[in-house]
Formats: sequence, structure tokens, C-alpha cells
Amino acid sequence: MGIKDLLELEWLKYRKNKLLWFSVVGFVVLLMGILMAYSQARVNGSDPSGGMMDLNRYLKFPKVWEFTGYIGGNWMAFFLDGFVGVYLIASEFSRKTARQQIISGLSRSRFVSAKLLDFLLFSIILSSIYFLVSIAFGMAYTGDVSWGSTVREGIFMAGRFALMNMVYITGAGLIALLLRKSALSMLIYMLYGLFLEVILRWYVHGKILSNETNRFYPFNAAEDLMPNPGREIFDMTGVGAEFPLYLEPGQAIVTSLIYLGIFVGLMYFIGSRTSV
Amino acid sequence: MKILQTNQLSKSYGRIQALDNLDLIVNSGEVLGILGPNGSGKTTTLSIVLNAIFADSGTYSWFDKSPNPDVLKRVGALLETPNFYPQLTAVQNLKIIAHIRGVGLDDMDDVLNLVNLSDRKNYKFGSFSYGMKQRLAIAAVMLGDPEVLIFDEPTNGLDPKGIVEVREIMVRLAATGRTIIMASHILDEVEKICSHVAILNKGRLLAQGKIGEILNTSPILELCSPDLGKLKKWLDSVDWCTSWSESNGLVQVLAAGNVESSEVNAQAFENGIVLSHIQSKKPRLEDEFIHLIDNA
Repeated sequence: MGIKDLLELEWLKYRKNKLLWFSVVGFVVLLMGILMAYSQARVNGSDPSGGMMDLNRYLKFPKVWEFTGYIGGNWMAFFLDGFVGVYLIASEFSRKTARQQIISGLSRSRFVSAKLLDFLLFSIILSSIYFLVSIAFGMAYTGDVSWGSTVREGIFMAGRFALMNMVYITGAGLIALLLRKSALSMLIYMLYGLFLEVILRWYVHGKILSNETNRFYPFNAAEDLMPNPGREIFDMTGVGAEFPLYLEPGQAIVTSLIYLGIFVGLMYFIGSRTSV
Repeated sequence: MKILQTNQLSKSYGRIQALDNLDLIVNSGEVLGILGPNGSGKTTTLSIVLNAIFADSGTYSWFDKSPNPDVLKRVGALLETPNFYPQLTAVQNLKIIAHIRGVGLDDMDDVLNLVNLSDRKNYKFGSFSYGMKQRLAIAAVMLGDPEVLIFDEPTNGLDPKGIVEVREIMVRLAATGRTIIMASHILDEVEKICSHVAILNKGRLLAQGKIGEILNTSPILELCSPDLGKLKKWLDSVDWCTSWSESNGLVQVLAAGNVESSEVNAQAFENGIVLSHIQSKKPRLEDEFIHLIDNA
């Protein structure tokens, strides 16, 4: 079965799946809702830091790319990718539909390939939404727009957004392939993403290696693809003076690609040896 | 032509030896019943040859070729339970199986007719009763007219009506001349559907061959006499009596060869035994099966 056949197979399975469609629609509605609510927010009082308190600047080009990416990626997509990645894998085992496909002649590696294509497609869909929403808000809040450079930057940022999604969703899929239980897999994914990696980075890593290298953890690298748009505040307060808190875009891209490669490799390795 | 052959297939789950050096051969056109009590290794065997699980040791071949996923496209299989997408209809689920097997949808209506699901073909699988799910699984097995059909406990979990329906389907399939492998612990089912039988117990093959050859078909004589002690003593002395047992005042005799009731009655009378009851019965498959298992 080639890529087209695998995509067709997954389309046959999920085209009527309301859960997945609601996830996509929910992402659009929630992302736009948050940005619209944010656009209505105002800060009372004087601005001591030369425009830092102008909240709308995050909705203007080029900051809107980072801001939308941070909200839509590091928070919403983190949860949504985890849910979808776990669901697409674990449900195939809990319903034993993976078994039905294998005994019908689908190879295990093709099964994994089909899931990775799902992940890629889902990442592309979310990235396209991110791109369009950012463009819409950027246009609404920016005066003069240089379209050539704006679109180029948008495509670059959408690519980073897609890569971040791929790391999250593949990480979740890998956990689900190992554990096969939806609730447990989701719990481990959340615990790792929200707590364990933070504990490892800030409480364990420094005792073994220099703190400067604690940025190269998988989900942190993915997170730094869409860094906190308010990180300049850290610069002002002196936080991060000893060593940089964020990976540079190039570092984040390379590190995320390496982890994505490891996750994909592990999925094939485990998937080809797993009983169904 | 050999359809399936296993060589020294072994599998254990922790300390439990599920399969122990199993050698099994299925030839073209056979309707083979894999018979054995629960936990005898039937499903494990089918799971291995269907690529769902891996053997610890041993090999198997399909159509005299090394196993690979593509070869399974020539095999239709129902393993344990019907497994489909609950949010999809019967037709949508069958399309997925057809897509994987690389077969057309021309016979979709035929297979749905065969399992009496035509009128429910556009209903969601999640809304089906267990019997309907099982029938859909049988339809999926049949899709694309595969060379080999495999059914693992096809009537398991069904209500009496469902059992009758599925058995009727199985009998019809067996009559088509296809190679069928059916695992079951229900002897009656195997006897009605299969031409050949392989008996498994504790992961080992006890016997394999035609049903008539493997399971004894000699008659059982049921005798009764006012003097049971004398009757039993006499039975110990006659050469046609293989064994006997007493239950509820009746003596059941496993006879070697075809012994006529009238002949037995005459012999008993000549030896001073008056028989108050004599009946020749066809042996129950269960008795023979238990005999094989106990003597393994």
C-alpha cells in the first residue's frame, strides 16, 4: 500500500468521526475566541516601559505570529495533539480494530505509517488554521503591511508551528503505542509535558550537566519553536542573564527534528514488534 | 496442496505454555475443526498464523510460502470477537476491509445477503446486537471470496437463535468446497460443519485427521438386568466388550466393531442372564473427546 492508499484507508475510518472534526472546529473557535477576548483587554494606568503595556502590539505583524503560535501552540495544540495522538492509536487497540486490519493483510509498518500520515495531516490542518487566524488578526490590527515579507515570515512560522505539532502528537502517539490505554496514555503525556520535563530540567539536569543545556529537552524544544512573546520581560528583569532560557529558532528546529526522528523511529520499532 | 503448515510452533504466556511444538497441516478443500477445551491453544494458534501475535519458536507457512502480510489477503479471518468501528455502518466497515485486502466491492451485497444483514447494511456497527456484529464479521471474512476462511469460536457469546443462524451460515460455507479452519470447543458444531478435526489440549496436538477416523464411531450398548452383578461379570469375559460403566442402574458398554443387539441378547440368555433393557446408541462425541483428552 502506498501513501495514497494509506491516506484513503484513514479517510474511510475517520471521515465520519465527529470527535476529530469537533477537535478541529473547537481549535478554530477557541483560538479566535481567545484572541478576540484579548483584543478587548485594556491596561489602566501609565506605561512605564515605552509601549510594553500596549497589548494590541501582540496582534500586529510581526508579533502576532509569535503570540498566536504561543497561545494556539504551546497551550491549545499541546492538549489537542495529545488527545488526538493518543486517541488515534489507543482506540485502534482498545477496539481491536488494529488486530482486524493486521489479520486482513495490513503490515504493522504500514499501520504505523498510516498513523504518522494522520499526524502529519492533523499538524498541517492546525498550522493552516494558525496561519489564517494570524493573518486575519494581523491585517485587522496592523496599518501598513509589507505582504511579501509578512507572508514569507508567516509560512516560516507555520512550518515551525507544524513541526511543534508533529513533536507533540508523535510523542503522544508513541506513549499510546507503548501503553495502549487512552486515559493512562493521556495522563502520562500530560504529566510529562506539564511537570516531569520541568522537574528534570530544573531540578535534576543541573546536578549532572550544565544548566545551559537544559533547554534541549523534547517538549521544551518544541515549545521554543513558538516562544513566549513576552520573553523580553525576562530580559528586562534580568532573568536568564546567566544563560539563555530559550533556544534560538534554528536550535529549536534542529532539536525538534531530531526528537521527531527518534519518536518516529521508536514508533516503527515498537509497532513492528507489538502483538495486536 | 498444503494451505497451512506449522512446524514446532511454541508460545508461552509467562509460566503458561499455550502452545507446545505444534505441528499442524491443513490441505486444500479441508474443513478443519480445531477442537479443544478452553485454554488448549486454539486461539493462540490462529493468532500466530494470522500475524496477530508472535510465536516464541517454530515456523509456519501459508500456501508453501514464508508468511508475510500480503499472503493474508488471500485469507478471510474472524479472530475471537468482531472488531469494527462503532461509528461506521456495516457497509463502511466492510469497505475498510476490502480496501486493505485490495478487493473490489462487487460482492458486498452478496456477502451481506449471506449473513442476513442487507436490511441493516446502513446502520452503525455500534447499534448492532452481538449476533449481528458476529454476522458482519462473517461477511467481512467472505469479502472478496478469499481462498481460505478462518473462524475462531464463531458462535461464542451468541444467544440460541444467533447460534443457529451462524451455524447455518457455516454449513452453507462448508458446502462450497472452500478450505475452512474453524476453532471451537463445541463438538456438535465441529461434527456438523467439519470434515477433518485436529484435537488440541494444553497446547499439544493430540490427533488430526478425518472426523470418523479420529473420533470412535463404534456403538454404545445400554444394558439392564435384574442381576446386574452377573451381567457385569459376563461383560468382563466377552471379547467384543472394550469397556463398560454403570450409571443409574444401567450398564453402558463400549463395543468393539458392529455388535447387533439381538446377538448380545442371545449370548446373554445362553449365559443365564435375562436382559430387561437393551438399546444400541450412537456414541456421543463428547465421550470420545474426553476419552482422548484423558488419555493424552
